[in-house]
Amino acid sequence: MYLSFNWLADHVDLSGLTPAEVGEAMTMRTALVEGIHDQAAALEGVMVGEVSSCEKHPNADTLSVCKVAWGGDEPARVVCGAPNVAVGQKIFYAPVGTRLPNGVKLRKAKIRGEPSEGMICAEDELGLGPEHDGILVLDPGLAPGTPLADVPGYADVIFEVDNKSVTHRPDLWGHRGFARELAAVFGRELLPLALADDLVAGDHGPSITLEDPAGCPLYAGLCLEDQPHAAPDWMRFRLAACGMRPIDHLVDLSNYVMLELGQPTHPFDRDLLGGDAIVVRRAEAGETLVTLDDETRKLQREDLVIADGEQGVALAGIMGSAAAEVSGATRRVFLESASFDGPGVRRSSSRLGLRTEALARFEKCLDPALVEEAVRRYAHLLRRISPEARVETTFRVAGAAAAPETRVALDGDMVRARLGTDVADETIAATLASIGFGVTSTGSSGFEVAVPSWRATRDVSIPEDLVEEVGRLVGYDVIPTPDPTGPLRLSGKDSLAVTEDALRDRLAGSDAYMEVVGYSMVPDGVLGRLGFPADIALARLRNPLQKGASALRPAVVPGVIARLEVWLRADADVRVFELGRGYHLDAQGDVSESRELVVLRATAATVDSRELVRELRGTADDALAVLARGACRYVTGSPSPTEPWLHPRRTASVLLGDQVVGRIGAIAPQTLAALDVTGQAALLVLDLAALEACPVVPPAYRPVSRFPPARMDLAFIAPYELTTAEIEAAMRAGGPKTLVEVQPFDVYRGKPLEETERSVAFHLVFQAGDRTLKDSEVNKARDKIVRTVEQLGARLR
Amino acid sequence: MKARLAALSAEALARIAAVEDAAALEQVEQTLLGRKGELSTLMRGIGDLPPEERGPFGQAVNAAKQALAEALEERRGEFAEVALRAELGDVRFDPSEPAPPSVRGHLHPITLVRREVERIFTGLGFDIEDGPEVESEAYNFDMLNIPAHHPARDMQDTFWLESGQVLRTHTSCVQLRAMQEREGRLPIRVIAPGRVFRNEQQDATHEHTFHQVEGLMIDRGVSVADMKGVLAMFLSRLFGAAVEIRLRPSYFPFVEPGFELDMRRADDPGGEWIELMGCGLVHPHVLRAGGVDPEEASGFAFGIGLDRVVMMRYGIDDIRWMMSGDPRFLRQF
Repeated sequence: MYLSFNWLADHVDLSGLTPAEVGEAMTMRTALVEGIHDQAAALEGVMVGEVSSCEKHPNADTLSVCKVAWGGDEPARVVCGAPNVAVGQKIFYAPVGTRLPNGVKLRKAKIRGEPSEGMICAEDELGLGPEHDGILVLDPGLAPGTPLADVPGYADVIFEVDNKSVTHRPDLWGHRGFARELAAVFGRELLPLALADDLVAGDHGPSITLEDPAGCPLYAGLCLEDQPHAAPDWMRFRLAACGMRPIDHLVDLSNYVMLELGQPTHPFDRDLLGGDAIVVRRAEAGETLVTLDDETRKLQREDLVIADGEQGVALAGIMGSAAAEVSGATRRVFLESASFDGPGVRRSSSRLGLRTEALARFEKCLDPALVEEAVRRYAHLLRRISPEARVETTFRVAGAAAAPETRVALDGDMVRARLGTDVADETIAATLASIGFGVTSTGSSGFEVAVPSWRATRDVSIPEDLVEEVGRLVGYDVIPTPDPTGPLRLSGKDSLAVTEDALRDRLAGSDAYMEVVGYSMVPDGVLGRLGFPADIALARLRNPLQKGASALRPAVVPGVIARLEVWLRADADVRVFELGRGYHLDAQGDVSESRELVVLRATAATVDSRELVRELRGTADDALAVLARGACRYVTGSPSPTEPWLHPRRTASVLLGDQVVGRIGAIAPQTLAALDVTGQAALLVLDLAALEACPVVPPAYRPVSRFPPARMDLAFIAPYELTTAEIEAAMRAGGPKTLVEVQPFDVYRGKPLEETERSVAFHLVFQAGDRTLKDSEVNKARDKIVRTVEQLGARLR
Repeated sequence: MKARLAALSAEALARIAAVEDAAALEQVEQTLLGRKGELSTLMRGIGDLPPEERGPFGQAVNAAKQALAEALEERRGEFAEVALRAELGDVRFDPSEPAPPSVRGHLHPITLVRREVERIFTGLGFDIEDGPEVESEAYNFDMLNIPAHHPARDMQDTFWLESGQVLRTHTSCVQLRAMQEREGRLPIRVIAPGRVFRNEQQDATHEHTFHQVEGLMIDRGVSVADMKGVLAMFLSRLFGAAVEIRLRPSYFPFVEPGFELDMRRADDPGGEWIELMGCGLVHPHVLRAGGVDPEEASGFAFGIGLDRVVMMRYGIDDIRWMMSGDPRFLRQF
């Protein structure tokens, strides 16, 4: 929302205050000012000039060659294209060197052969209004050479206010409300608002029927006769500066009153209102309305319609229709000013996807007192800018509405306790009174506070609301910043989050993996390409940013591996992990979340994918060891249909005890092909909730022996059906107590071995706590271990 | 034999004296004293001597061996000395020659900053909580004092799920969960980092998926001053320098009064204020929804954008790097 400094100054005395000071005060006490635009500063150099001569351009019919007196010794010679330029006019002259708001810097030029030094300006060239049909013609009393900044009514300073910060303040959607705030902040008087006080409620004009008093409890209509013409420049420029396009004075006035008071009004061409009647009613089933933007709107029962005796003429509180629009032919106007139910019009607006300036105000729940005030203000301003207008002095009012009479019991001690600073009772009372609250003392720091109607519709109703009023107007900077105090207590942390962080450290540490963070949404295309079953229902967004990207990822994997090709292009070796959530539909149709670790290891090189899985297995061992959830096992198993990216034969479950906590395996060749990847990749996926459910098993201490260990390496050739884990277990079972360590450390596949077998090497350590082992002892144990393993179908290499 | 020994000794000593480096010395030692060395060969001839000469000859050989060993040792010492001096005087050294590539992983900058925030608040006795990313409308809006058809719902563009749930638009929902979990036990001191979502188009400063840390402190008599104290301490530690903070009035439906907090370095009093986070005293409706009696206790809440802090800290110009997965970005942390 934009506010004009000059306009504010119509309502409160801002003398002696700079726009910067006013902007700062608004930001610190009321609402964020996001920008201050000083039109005069942007028009530096532009000054009043007098057209001292004006002749036809020798080479162009539509151009004139003028001399402009500007207070200097020599008049400037300017080629001008405006049809309305004439000798004796006072105009705005922009000399060579001026930078115009559109960024153009004026230079000496030749236009169709005639030299030109600067420009005689139209309003759009100065950024003041939209018109380009002619130059601005000024008050003849102005002296040439007067800077534009010093000519009243033209250059303004515009504040841009953050709309979000006034979402809760129906009173701040117009200049008057901000003027009230500034009056309180600077201790100045809020100037009286000039209204047409001679108007009285009566029964002149179309009849008004309110069929839905909840949706529209109050409706006023004023009749007037006038012909549309341009509003005066000052009004048009204010509207333009505040973002509204000037049209004609009847429409402009309506907008002007809205930007001033916050109350939207709507002028209808009375001669186009069928039956000289207004009916405010719910839309009928199947009813349509062509709104002023030429869209045909399909209405529903919940929509509130303004109808004449025959048809709908406006969507209440949102937008008028073309049917009774004011046009150049209008001679009689019916001005609507009404109170609409905020949530109601908001619902219609949301459904129809139609937001307007009027709606932005009505949805905030405006003070019904503004309904008549807006009518009187419109009438007052109309008489001022259009003396020909004939305003009916009686206007119709149907229904009744008023803001609730809210009284809040306020305790001064509570205000002090909440703010954490000492604000005297008198200050509290005076501060609230300064912005219109009625404050009555009820003894011993107690007050009864009457909320003014413009704050009572929704904004202020509880003591905490008043704490804010006092705090912001006294200034939050008076509140101290003490060191924190409070009872000592241990901090806790969500255990899953602790686990996640431990995994992060492990993986990003010695395992040298890179953490990535990916989106929760996954395009349908990606899931399809990866072969995710189409018949599994996914959690989906109702309103995705892009079509085809409505699914939430059912697992973290797809998002990660979808990037594999890009990563492999950057690096021959990829080590990446993500800790994130998968989203699932439960039986009730609600969405639940799983928390997952996905570790991706990939290489562009041509390798046996089993080698990659083996490497990743080591990473898994490390990561799980850090979590101390006991020994883990890896058991071959086929991937489920929801893991189509895993290799059907080179995938294993990760188990802690009997609990499956994840999967490890190669990425399936068809997945790699679908991802356009050459090379190999392997995945580790851990389900953190399952992991977390496994008890912590702190490592058991074994006394350190003073006696030397005996070490040996044994390699066995075994068929793949005999797993390394089985051989290892057999060694431990068949070995003596002095066998303290069995560590598989290498694998060999290839000639001269058969393709159905491979060799696995183990490192064995024998050690006793009470003696040095004899060679014969160790050899005997070795022989027994070899026999045991060979009985399983392996042979010593 | 004796003469040969004498000649051999003399010649050997001369060879030892003539040697020019440690390797040559080694060579000479082998040829003289090794198992197949000249002295050993000579010694093997001892059997050819008459028995009475064998003793003295043996002693003579040993004496010669001894003398040679000493001479060798002396020269070894010399060479060692020379080598040591040479090494100590060697100026051929470049510490910036290429190293083999280091092997280390990388934590995401969001993780790094989140942990720092957690560390600071852990020190102040705050718990670290977690909450669901998919929330009910009640937790994301209604119980946070944002009723249906209230304009405040427009303040955050929301992703709605077909289930009627939402992707949470803020971490503020965890305020309610934390209060409810504690069943009114005071004090409540909680932070909740997490992922949040807004249905808006991406550009350099907007992401539809980003990260926040929610903070909540509730106890008897908690005031705006307490909030300022905690947040000033937090920000001073987070940014590594004392900071000045200021509060501006702002509107968030779940707090009353509500503020926007701006910050600048305390040693730069003329510096620009940087808008950093929303905060305020927890609205009584929210306290009640969380099972806390607003007559008994009060508290403050805040929400800070982690991505924003990461960007400020490292001077990152585009928020879209965060979710890019681009190693050129991630390797820098």
